[in-house]
Amino acid sequence: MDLLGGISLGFESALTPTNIWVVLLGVLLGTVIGILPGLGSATGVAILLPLTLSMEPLTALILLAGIYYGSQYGASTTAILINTPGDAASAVTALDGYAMGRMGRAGPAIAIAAISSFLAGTLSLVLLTALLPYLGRWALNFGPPEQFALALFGLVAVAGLMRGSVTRSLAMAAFGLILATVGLDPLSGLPRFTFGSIELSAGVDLIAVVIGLFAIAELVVRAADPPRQRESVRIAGLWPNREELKRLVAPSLRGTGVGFFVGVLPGAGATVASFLSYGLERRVSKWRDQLGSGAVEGVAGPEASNNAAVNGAFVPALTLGIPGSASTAVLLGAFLVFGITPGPLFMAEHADIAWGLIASFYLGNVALLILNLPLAPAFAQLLRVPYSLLYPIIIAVCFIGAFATANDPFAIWLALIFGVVGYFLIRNGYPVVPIILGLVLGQIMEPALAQTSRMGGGDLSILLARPVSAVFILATAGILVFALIRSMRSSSKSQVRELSGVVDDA
Amino acid sequence: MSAELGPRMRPRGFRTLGPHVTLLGFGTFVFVRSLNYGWIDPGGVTQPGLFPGVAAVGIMLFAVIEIVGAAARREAAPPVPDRASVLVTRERKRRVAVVLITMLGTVLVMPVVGLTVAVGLAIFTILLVLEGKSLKYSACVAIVAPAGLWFLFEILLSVPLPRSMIGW
Repeated sequence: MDLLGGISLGFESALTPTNIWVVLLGVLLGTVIGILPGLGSATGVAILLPLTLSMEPLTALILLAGIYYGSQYGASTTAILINTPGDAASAVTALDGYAMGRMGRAGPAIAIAAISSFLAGTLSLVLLTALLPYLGRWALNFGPPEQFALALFGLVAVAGLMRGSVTRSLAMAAFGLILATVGLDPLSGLPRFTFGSIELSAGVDLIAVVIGLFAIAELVVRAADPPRQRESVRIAGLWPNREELKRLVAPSLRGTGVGFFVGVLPGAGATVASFLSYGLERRVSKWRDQLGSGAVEGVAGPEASNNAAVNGAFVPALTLGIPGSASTAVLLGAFLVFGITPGPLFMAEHADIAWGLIASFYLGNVALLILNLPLAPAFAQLLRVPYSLLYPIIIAVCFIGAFATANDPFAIWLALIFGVVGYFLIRNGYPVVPIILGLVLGQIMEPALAQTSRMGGGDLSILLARPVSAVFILATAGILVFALIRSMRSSSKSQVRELSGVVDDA
Repeated sequence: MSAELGPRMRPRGFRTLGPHVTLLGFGTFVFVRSLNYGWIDPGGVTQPGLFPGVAAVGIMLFAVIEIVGAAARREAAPPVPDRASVLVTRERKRRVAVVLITMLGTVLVMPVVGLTVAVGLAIFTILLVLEGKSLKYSACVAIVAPAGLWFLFEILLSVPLPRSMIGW
């Protein structure tokens, strides 16, 4: 399908009264989730997925995607108001956003974040729209070897380029791949790792795992801290002055470019994008001396960048079925719940859903600006809800959500078990995001590997004989080598630091 | 001072090895199971054990790297904790234990009292025992929140929630 045909089909599908309401509801829920502590976009999508089960697939996915990008807006609000970013991607916004708040400019800081996010959202959507048909057509040529190599590349890129220990990230990705094999083997029907359980024969429920690893584990981590007094926040004026409006344009454009490019690459994600954008502002901005003490550029650049990265991440997710982050992995998991297989054929087989989703992003982007600016003072009041009241209710939502998605009490057990596992993993410095990516990508990789093996008559060197798969395999190897060297360097540096610390102490 | 072990330095040793060793054990278990499923048939075509087996080898490899790294790393002996930090640590452990036990209890009583009542009991327990809220406040939240969730799922979304033995 060509670009214009796709756009017209998309708006035709998205512009129904139900879908318009759902866009509004999604971005509103997303903003609230971004503001509330202990709930990220991945968790939000996972626990609210059961609300969509009775909806049409497109309507459901519009709601879930709205929650995803709406939560990015909410996360920046908490960063600006109470110096507590709702997610890692908004951490850098807190530097200047909170400083602006302390100067009595919290309202304008929120408005700057919203306007720059809107600009970045719109521009990156244009890029996304322009790229999709070409990438979609290119992806149609992918056979099993290319699909396997690409999924392997996506997994290693995300795990290998994460902050922290590379070996731990890769171990967790491998753990996710093993989880993906639980149940009946798709080709032979042989039960694997089911331990005689009928429930496990159907495999490990992705949503229960996400609820466990992200929501329950995070709740337990946070519940360990005794209750604190919530901050009372008031927003006086919202509208930025003319000078601030002028200053937000250039960093927003730079942030959009950085964010979209970074978002398209599997592994980098919105957090890296926002930090890169801040670094860029430090180098090129006319007001770089003010950065860190309440500069408009410190809010506009990173906010534009992390929103553009969110849209950029949809490029590999929609055309290739490769999630670039935990949130897109959960969204792709939601596709599976509705019987839609993400991957190279998605754009061809479900053009109405793909383009309808893109069209809803445009609507959602406008809705976020329209809703968030006037409602900012009301959202700020959400910060007064005590966490001690919130988390028991979130636990209840998690349990009911886990049950409702699978319609099976076993899913609640699964969520609880993965909650405990996730808690201990987080406590010991193991990231949980690669587990989800492994679980999602494993379902693509294993059948693709089996088909590749059959295509090559048992010879897997076919992966290196085909140009596209060879490029991805070599890139994967390159990332692995780079990540392991980086890991060894940081390990030896930290050892030197530890030793020198002892010398200093002595 | 050289990198030799001094009086205030020691290998990190078994204090941080537990998670890596557990991971190694898990990887070994999966690896052994995968051999039972078969890796490659005589014709060279992949079998159901190959994919989990290779992933298990990856886990074992990464766990060994972590173990070797942790064992080789040397660090200053941690300072003896003062009484205040001991109390804080103990309180944190108590809070985690209460939350985990409450969640486990919720899942265990669910077949008896139904999911809605079970989550209500969980909310009540956490608010009363852990957060020190009043009986009235805890009871109100424990009734209103599950009732709202029940209304949302059962009535609005037509998702039947697990009921108790007596049909609640």
